[in-house]
Amino acid sequence: MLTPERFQARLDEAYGAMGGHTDPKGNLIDECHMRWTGVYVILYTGDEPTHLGIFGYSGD
Amino acid sequence: MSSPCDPQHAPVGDVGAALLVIDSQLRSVHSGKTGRDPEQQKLIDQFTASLGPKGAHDLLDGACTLIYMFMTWLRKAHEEHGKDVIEYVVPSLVASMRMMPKSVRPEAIPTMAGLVIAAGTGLSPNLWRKQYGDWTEKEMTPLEATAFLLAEHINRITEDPDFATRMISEALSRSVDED
Repeated sequence: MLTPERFQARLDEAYGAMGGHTDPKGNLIDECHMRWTGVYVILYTGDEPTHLGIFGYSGD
Repeated sequence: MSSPCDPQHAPVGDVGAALLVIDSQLRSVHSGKTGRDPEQQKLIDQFTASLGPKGAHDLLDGACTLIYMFMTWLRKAHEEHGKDVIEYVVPSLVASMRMMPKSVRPEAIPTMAGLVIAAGTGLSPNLWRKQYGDWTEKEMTPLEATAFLLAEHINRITEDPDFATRMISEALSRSVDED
């Protein structure tokens, strides 16, 4: 289960990887680079969903 | 950590007025018209124009409450069949929005999907959206379309063209009785 703290750690890793990273599919941020695609991330505190993040690209 | 999107802290808004607007759209579609009846549109326009800033905010909050209630019903209905409401509802909703480019500009779709996913997760769509600043004028029609599409989805599932409207009306009646 993804907590806000674990999500932040994953995000920090992804941003860190963007510096010298060569694999475009290798990190969280690169999950959605196609138009009309997106991902949502639900963060939990205990068993309760508490935060929602949406990442993606619309067709505009 | 408490959620910034806890529905208990969300404003309910004017659900009755929001339902009036959505029901008007549903009736227009069911009568085979491509848009609202001009007379009906005039009445809706007069009604929304008569709202002051607070009334407009209440209408907006009411539309978000409708989305929350519709998604809550849909989540329970899908859970009864072991299905995930987001998996089954959001893709078709987005596909419908993509076919309505005049009402729902492409750039509004991610936000509308976010509102629906928040509601389907048990979070408040109003409070989720609020984290990103004030609503914009351009989001008003997509918001109305989102509530309309969810109502239509429920009506299609139940094979009852009035089910969604009746469900909200009955909930409103119950809340009045309890007060």
